[in-house]
Amino acid sequence: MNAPGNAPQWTPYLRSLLRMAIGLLFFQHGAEKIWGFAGGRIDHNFGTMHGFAGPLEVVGGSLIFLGLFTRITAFILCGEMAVAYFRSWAPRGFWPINNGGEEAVIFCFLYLWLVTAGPGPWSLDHVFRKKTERCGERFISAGAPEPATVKNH
Amino acid sequence: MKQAIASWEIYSRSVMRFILAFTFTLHGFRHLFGFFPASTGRRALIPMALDGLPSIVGGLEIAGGFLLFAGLLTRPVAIVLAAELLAAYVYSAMPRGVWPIRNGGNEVLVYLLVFLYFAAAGAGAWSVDALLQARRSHRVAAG
Repeated sequence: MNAPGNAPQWTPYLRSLLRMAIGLLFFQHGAEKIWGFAGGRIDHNFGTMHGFAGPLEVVGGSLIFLGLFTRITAFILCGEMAVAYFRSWAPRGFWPINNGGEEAVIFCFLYLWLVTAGPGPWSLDHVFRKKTERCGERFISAGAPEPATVKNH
Repeated sequence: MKQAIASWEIYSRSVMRFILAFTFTLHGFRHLFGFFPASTGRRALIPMALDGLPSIVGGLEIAGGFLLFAGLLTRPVAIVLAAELLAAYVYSAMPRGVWPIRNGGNEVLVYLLVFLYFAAAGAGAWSVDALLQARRSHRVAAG
């Protein structure tokens, strides 16, 4: 129905749903390292890179799910995923599909995008923002020659 | 500052699309030609749910992956691939267990959600779709 450049009005809400799901999926990895979620390997050596990833993923995943401090959290987690890829997966092979690091690659670039995209309307960031700032949150649709303003509310 | 970062969204969405399309296409080569045999990698060696589908879908993955990488016909392609990923999750991940982290369906869910977002939001600035649209609007403006 839509021309290629015109995103539908509800796209920011879809972004919020995507962000929540990503936060939950990411939370699992921290929960497995701290509490042994779903039979995972527990690692309480918080001084090591692998152990420190546990709290980082639990706290980061929760913040991404809630949409609180989203951009900063996503930036930190993006860096964490890059470190995770090059430290633990890249030595096992060149191709992400083979060395087990596919998920780390995906999450890394997903968070990089989330830094720029922001949390969307269904988020604590949005609730805590001043009401005047809330109107007219910018959403730039794909390939539009110049930034188009779409009202979310 | 925030406005400046937010204005990069169309570019970072394209970067994310390049990477996801690339890693997704590798699954197609694994399916069709048996490249990248799953020998190393993950500790518990959970087979990825996507590889549990019949190998004929490899063609879909390669064609769809290349189209998505180029950003051509992004919306319909993303919907088709999302349907395939949903099938992969239901068919090969769900019988293995409840939690995505243990049934090999974590990547599949991430791909699925992001492709759905591409289907709604489009391909971003660096894409054939954007080029075509710019040309079209240029022609309209020129009359």
